[in-house]
Amino acid sequence: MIEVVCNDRLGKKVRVKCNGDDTVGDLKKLIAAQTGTNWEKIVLKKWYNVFKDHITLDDYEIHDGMNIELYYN
Amino acid sequence: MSEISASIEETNAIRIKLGLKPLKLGPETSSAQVAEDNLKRQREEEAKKAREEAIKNKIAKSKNKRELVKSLPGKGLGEISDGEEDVDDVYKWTQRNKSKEKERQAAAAARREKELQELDESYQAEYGEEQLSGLRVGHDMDDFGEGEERILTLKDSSILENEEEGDELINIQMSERERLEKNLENKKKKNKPVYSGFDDDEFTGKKKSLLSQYDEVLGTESGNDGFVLGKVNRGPKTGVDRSGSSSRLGGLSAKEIMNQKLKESAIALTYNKTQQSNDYYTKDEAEITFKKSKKKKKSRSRKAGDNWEDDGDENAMDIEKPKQLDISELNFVDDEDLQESLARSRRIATKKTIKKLTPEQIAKNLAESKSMEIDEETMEGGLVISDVSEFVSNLSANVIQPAPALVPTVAAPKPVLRTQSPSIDEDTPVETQDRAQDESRNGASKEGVSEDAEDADDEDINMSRSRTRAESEERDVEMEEETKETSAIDAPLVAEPLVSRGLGSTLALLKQQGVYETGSAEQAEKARLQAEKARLLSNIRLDEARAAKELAASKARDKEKARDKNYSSRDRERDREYENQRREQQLLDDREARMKDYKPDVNIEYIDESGNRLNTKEAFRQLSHAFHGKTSGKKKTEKRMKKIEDEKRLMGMSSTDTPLNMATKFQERQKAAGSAHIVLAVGNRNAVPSAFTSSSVGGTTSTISSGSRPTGPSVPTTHQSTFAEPKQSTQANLSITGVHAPNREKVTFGLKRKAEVAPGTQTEEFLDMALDDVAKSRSTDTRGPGNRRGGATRGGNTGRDSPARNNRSSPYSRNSQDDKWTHDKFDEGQKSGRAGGSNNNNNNNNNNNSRNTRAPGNEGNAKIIVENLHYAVTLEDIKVLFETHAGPVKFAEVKYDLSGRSTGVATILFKVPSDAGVAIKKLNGIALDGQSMKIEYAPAPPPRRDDRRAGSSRDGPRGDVFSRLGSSEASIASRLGKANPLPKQSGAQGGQSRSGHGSGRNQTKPQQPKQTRQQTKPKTVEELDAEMDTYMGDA
Repeated sequence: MIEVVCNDRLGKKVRVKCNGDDTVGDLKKLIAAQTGTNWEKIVLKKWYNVFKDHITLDDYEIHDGMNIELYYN
Repeated sequence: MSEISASIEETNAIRIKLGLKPLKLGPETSSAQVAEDNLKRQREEEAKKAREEAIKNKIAKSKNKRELVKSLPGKGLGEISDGEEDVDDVYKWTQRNKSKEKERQAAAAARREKELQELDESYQAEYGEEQLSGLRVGHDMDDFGEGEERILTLKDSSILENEEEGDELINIQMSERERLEKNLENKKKKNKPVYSGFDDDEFTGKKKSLLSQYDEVLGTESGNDGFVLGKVNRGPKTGVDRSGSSSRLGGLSAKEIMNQKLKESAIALTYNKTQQSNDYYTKDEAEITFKKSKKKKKSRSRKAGDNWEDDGDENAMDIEKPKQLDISELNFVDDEDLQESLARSRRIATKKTIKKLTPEQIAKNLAESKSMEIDEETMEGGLVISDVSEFVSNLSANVIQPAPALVPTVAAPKPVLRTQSPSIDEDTPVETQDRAQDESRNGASKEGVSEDAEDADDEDINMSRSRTRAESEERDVEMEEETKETSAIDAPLVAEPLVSRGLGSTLALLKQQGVYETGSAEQAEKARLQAEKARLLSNIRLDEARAAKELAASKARDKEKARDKNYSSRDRERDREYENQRREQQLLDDREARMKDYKPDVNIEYIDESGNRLNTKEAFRQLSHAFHGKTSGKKKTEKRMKKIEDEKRLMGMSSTDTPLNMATKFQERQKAAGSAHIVLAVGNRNAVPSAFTSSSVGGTTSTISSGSRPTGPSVPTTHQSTFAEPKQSTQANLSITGVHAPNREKVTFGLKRKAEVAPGTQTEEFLDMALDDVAKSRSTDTRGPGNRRGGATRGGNTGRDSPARNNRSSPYSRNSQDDKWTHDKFDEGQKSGRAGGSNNNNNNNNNNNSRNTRAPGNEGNAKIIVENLHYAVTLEDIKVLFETHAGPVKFAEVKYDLSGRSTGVATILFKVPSDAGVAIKKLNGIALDGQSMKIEYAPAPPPRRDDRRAGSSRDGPRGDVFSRLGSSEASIASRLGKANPLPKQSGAQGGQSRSGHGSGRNQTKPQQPKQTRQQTKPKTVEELDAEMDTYMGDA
């Protein structure tokens, strides 16, 4: 289990517990469940990298305690 | 800001809802960690193994050691030293070592001896007679005597030499003896001829070395004879065999052997010489077929594609193939002999077939050819109306039409005439006949040369015309005799020959009326040439027509031949080609021969785009410009255009008139004026009357005398002298306006010349002068004006009255070109002696004064000019002449031109000035060497500057101008009968006073005969005319 912090810098910061082999899409769903937004509206970024839904967090080398930028479509 | 976070349970709940597996609790075991663990484990295992191995090795070592120790007897070095007491004794050690060595050597020797012995035994047991069997002995069996013992050795040779034969045994003594014998034999041979004729390489098969007969046998060269050991009973047999074969060969001579060999490879060279070459195979030849393998095509095509690739296929090809290729590639056409013989055989064949023609066939052929001819004829028959024929018929009709009107007796048409035109003349029938002939001729040649039928027609007509002309000329001779007779009867009315009398009379009629004219010699020549050309052309056409007919005939023959069955299509093709070639060649030759006399009349004309005819140079330029795409520059083009324009104008100019059409203009003017004369001087003289009036003339005459008085008593004489010539001239000059028609032209000439001489301001002066004076003043005028300024400065305002004033274009203009430069605002002379008033025109006045007074003023001169001398007159002659007749000469000079010839002008300066007058008086007009001399005073030299400074006027005769003008004015006025306008009083007065003043200073002695004052009075018209006539008569 890893814990990822997602911050949209507009007032929402979510700490999500997830597995390393979860996909980005799963992560988005978890975030959506916690924040109450539609998961399809969520965009996750690290700098200019937009994470794609079908790729796992391990593949993106997202480790425990990392910060991910949270944007909305 | 608070983080939103969920506990593990909450998250798991959500995950279950989303269909995800629950969170993995516990420490995260990454794959890397696993790998690390694995590595560690591996290493541990390896270390353990290594340890076990080391222990095993140790055990094995110790075990080995134990075994080694157990196997080695005695004691080791260390052990010995430990155990023995005489360790340190070197003697004992060496002793011991020596004994040990001896023992070892003895053992080895014993072993070796034993081995050798064994070897010896084994050899001795084996070697016997059998061992030698198979060895060759290099001597004949016979050489060995019975019971004789010989030692044979191996023959001396290299290893490789006798590889296949094996070793050879020889006896040295025996081989020595053999060699000796051979050498002896060779020596005997040397006496024999070397060349036998049969021992060449080609027969013997091996190459002989050079001069081999001198070679000695060096080594033991045993022959092939010899025997092999162990085959005793076989050896002699082979020997016998050998000798047998050699003896058999020896029985036959070398020559015979050669013959045999040659016979084996003989080829029969005989062939049937009488056999004729033919296009076809004979039966025997036809039976020889070439095997055609099915593979061939394939292989060939493949060969064409990749010849170099498959050698295997090449090998697999049929052997006969190249042969076949040769046959196909044979060029039959190139082989001339073959071609000739083939043609011969073919001819024979065709002869046979022609013989075979049945009479029916011949008849048929004839019928065919006839029908062809008929076709042609029908094609040609009937009336042909072409452009040319129509044009020609029109022509003749037009020309002749007036004739019948003149000749009312129209003859009845002759039966011969074939024309359709009712207006009957003999010209057309001739032409039509000719035309008909031509057409028939054309028809004959139509097959071959139908394309040039059009122009041929043209030429034919030309020819026929010229022919008729030639004929008619002959007839004319006859006709002229007739006409002569008739003309004798009624001269005024020229008899017209009757048309009805025949062609000759018609032609005569035409000639009479100018319709037809016999040409000049040039034209006749031209006509002759044309006729010749026409004849040539017609001949050519005839020949061509004939050739065409022949061609057609031969073609028909060919067709006939083609029908023959024995004549294959290939042959036909070839024959036709050959025939065509031959025919063409012949045609060309014929044409060349025919055209030998053909001289075309070529005249090339170049015409530019504006229709001007160009000469060759211009044409080339145009061509060049067109070629290079650039034209001449603007200036050049303009120049050329101007030239063309000028040429055009020149061409357009009337030959009876000047370029400016003066004569016509004069005529027009005369018509307009309604008078028989023209006054030409109008343009220049219209100002004159205003300036001078008759009253002013009167005034002048009076004032001159009065004005001159104060200055001196000599003044009047001066005046008169100055008057003398000009006066007469004025009269003459003014009377010239043409009253007499014959004189008119001359008059115009005079005026014109004057206009040339004195343009601008001088015109008026010249109007009042005689031509001679004009000429004189012209020669003197070149001298700078303003000579006598002194006088001018005195009377500043005199100029107002001067006639020159009228001509002044502007107050600021310079007076004349040759005037000396003066400051136009600051004039020294004027400043000093100005009396007041305007002095603007001072210079003007001065000029006029000087000019007018020059001639009279010269009379005091001692210098005279003699003109119109014969060129042979020398300076000496002149001097002698004038010294004898006049007086002592100070200086004389004759002018020569550049080539050293006398110009006919001499200058003479007398010592005494009065002599000049004498000379003029005595000698003027007298002929010297056939030419009358003309003697005048030389123009006065220019005044010196100090004269002017002094303000003294040398040119006294101012008033004389006015008197002269006045007189002329009077005469004009009287002649024209006009009322003179009012004179300008002040001018006249100023003039007179001034002149009077000036003349006083100018003291000259007039030598001229003086004229009376009465002459100044106006003359009547009659007087003036008379004077004019006399003047003209003199001139």
